[in-house]
Amino acid sequence: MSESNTSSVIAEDSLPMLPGQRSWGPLALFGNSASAAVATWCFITGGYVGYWLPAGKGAIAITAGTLLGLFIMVLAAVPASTRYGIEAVRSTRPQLGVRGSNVALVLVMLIMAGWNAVLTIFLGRAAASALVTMGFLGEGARGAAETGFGILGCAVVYVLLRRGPDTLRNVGPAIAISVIALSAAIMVILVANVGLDAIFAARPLEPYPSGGLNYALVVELGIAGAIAWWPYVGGLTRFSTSTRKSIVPVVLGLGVTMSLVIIIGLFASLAVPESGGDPTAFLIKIGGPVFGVVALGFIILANVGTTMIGVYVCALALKQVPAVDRRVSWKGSTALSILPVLVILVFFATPFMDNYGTFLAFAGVTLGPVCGIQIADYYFIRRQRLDVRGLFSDKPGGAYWYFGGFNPAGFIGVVVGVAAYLAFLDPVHFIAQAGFEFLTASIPATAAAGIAYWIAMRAIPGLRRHQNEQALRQPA
Amino acid sequence: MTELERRLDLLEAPENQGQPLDRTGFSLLAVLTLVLPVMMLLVGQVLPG
Repeated sequence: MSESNTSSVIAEDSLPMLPGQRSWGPLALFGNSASAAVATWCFITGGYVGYWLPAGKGAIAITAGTLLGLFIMVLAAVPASTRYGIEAVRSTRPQLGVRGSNVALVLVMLIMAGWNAVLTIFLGRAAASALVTMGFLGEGARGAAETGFGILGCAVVYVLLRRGPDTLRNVGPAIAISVIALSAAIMVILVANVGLDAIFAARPLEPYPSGGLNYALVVELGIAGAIAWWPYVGGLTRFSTSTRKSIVPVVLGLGVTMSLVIIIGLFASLAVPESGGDPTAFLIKIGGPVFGVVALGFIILANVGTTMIGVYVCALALKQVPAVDRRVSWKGSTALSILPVLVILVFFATPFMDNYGTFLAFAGVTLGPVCGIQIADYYFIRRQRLDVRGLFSDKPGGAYWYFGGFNPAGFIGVVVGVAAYLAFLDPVHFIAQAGFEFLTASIPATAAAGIAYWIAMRAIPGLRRHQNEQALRQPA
Repeated sequence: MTELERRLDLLEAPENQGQPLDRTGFSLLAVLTLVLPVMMLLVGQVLPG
């Protein structure tokens, strides 16, 4: 079997990928990053920005925040993945322990199931809305169409992914290029019909009295949004062999592309406040079926592309459990990853979306501290060298077994980080405390988690012994 | 020898590992995602709104 033929099979299971099996160049990495980043949730984020800041200031703040979040997320997720060919959950074993990394697995499964449900619900609602607005569907059929389009989206994702991640390499860039072209078309149509002067003259919809608070909230939105890509990026960059060569594709794909689409949402929310950032209904009203097809094409491609990568990451994380890896095929793992999405979509779509803000808060509060402990561990304790055998050892005595399979330092770090986040911002009600305007919440949460982890690793005697033993095993 | 053991044997050799984050890579990352956004935020501060 040739190497290219084996790459898909290898990447489907829990094994680490060797450099010769990692076939993604910059275009595939950029394409999949952009494909993952751009979905209708960008419009919703843009709608949030429009509540707090006007066009110019909002565009700068959300782009800068996204880039700052990428600094944290790339430092945490990319180097271990590119160096050892592992995905995000496996990379948490040094910080959380062999059994403790199951907590990261549960976190990833919950967050990915939630994101994928959000995407398919958005897909169903936006597609049904577009068809109703264009007159192809009656209002009475809207509910059934929303569920039907969501299920159809899940089916398409399953068909695309059942043969493994080679589909991502081939389909990801095509989706990304199409979505970027459609985004540009939507931006041109929006600006041409509303006027750039009108957009830049529009006032934010519901700003807080403090200008600094509005600015910091948007920056925080960008940072938390970028950190939320942690599970995705670990799964994608394992196909690349160089951390340095991964940086530009990931920053362009996730940071720049996502910011551009969020800015479209911002402009739409300021120009048409009732849109909430989603320009599709507005486009169809002013341009009829022609613009409707553009909007519908964007909705389908963008959401299916992101869901495809989300389900892939989820299936890969699931395969890190030895019992699952032995008993469940790649197709089975993909189906298992889609199953909770379908359950939410069919039975709980409305209550789930009613609690969308709480879900976002959960993802934002937990992933920053996880990035913090990974950065502290990988750079300041391990000096970028992991015990690759220890990463895959499930038995006591392995490099990352610690105490009963758990590393208490990792959990101390995460708890301290979450507490730090909540000390600066109540993410459900957006109530900020002193210092938030200058520090945001994700940055101090990440820093506090990393510092607490480093101190705990040094202070707890048993953990210091683990580090010394690993250092003796490592080649210089 | 299982496939996992074979691959772990190979990955233990530094030449079979991917490249770590070097100074050039870190500088690139820092310029794109630290220096640039901080400058943007400073510019944004002086804009109206």
